Amino acid sequence: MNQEKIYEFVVGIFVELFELDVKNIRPDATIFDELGLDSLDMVDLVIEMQSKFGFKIGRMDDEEKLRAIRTIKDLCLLIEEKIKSGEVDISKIKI
Amino acid sequence: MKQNRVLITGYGAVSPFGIGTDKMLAGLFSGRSCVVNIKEELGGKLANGNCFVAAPLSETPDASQIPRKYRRNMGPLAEYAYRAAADALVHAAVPKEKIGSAELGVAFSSSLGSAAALEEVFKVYLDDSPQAIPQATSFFKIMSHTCSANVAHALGIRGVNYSVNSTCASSTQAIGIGYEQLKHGRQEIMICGGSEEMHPMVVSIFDLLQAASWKYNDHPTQTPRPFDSKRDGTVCGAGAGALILETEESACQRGAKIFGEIVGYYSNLDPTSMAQSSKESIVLCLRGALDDAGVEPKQIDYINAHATATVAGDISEAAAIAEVFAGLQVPVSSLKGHMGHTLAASGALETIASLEMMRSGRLIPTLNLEIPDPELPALFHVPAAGLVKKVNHFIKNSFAFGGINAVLIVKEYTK
Repeated sequence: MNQEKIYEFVVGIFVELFELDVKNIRPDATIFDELGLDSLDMVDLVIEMQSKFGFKIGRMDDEEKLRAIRTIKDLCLLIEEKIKSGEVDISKIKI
Repeated sequence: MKQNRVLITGYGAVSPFGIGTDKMLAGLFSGRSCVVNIKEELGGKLANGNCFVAAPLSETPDASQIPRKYRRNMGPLAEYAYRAAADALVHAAVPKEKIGSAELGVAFSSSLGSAAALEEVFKVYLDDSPQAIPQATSFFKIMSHTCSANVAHALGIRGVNYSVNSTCASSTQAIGIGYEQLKHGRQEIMICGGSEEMHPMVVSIFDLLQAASWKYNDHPTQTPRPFDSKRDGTVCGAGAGALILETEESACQRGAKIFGEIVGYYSNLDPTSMAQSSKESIVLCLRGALDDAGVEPKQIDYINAHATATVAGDISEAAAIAEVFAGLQVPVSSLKGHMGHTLAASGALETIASLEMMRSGRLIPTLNLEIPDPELPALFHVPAAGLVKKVNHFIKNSFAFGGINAVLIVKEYTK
């Protein structure tokens, strides 16, 4: 699964889950300031990612990584990292 | 200590007749019933029960108009509550700067949090797969104060916030709490009301408790039948009602239109039965409200009864009215025959309807009351054709599971 596909997937989540206009979503768009999400949305975002990718976001290391996410691109990089580390079985991804 | 006079300066309604008070009042004054057979729609979820009638909303508010930030925290009943409260603020023409001030509060109610949202959570909860996790905002839909909190958040209200969850007495108690807040000068304006969504769980529980009507499944508009000899139980309904209560000083200062004055309120509990209130406890409640208002029984011109058409409930209420108003011909009617029992919303919706009866001088009769039950004490029921009568004071009764009673007394406002 390449970066482009991951980005498409993330954009799809933001449009569907948070009712955002696809025109406003760019790789460098800041999730909180520009796209208007808040901490509750982040919880739902994590749940959605877990559901779609089948990986578990733990409480320790991942939480710090999640806190560091500012932009759509940051989020895509985290997903890419999870795939590369083998935590995700690509054949089971529900996209 | 100075006590404020408490006025009603606006209201909003979502009822089985549709969205808006105009639709509700038109339906009530024309004597229509909203009760339908729900077997096809919800039959599979009614747990082998006998009751297949209900009064659901005939149209639902367009939730997409609510910004997602607020909507994501709302189950259906909070959406209805929001719509009724927002409409009430517009009806009362409350200035925007007042809405966000610390002087405006909320007392809003529901029987439960959203049962629909609770059902969704349990569907996920009972799924063993590791990906089965409910939405982050689920709790804000199912918490018991979902209506009061959501109304305040979505409307930007910063004043006091109370949630009342006493099932069928909820919104009458919410209005009572608002009245007390204003009377004692703690707030200037209160949004008070209640909301209820239609869920098969609620219908099933009423059925299980033998409180729901079941003999009229094939003739739904003939039930419920308050005070009637052939009544067999109540019919669950959905809706939301909101009233704007305001101190006289605030209302007069801004030249608000005034629909009535709340002059009395009382609430108590009967510890002898969880399922229903006794006549004695209702008598105490009625007398408590009359004392609070400083009026005599003979000054009451109309009683809007709770009368849900349960066999036992109507007996207690009729007996209490007969005792407190002995020798007086006070017209009585119930609106449950039209809209079913909208539970937590009923007190607010029926108070709104009673305000219009007071304004117009036309009393709405009890739909489906054909032959008053001879087992009940004789009451002066509003005749089937209606009654033209000048109303200076009316009473609104509400009683709830748990043995809770609540009585409001409203007066035509004069300076």
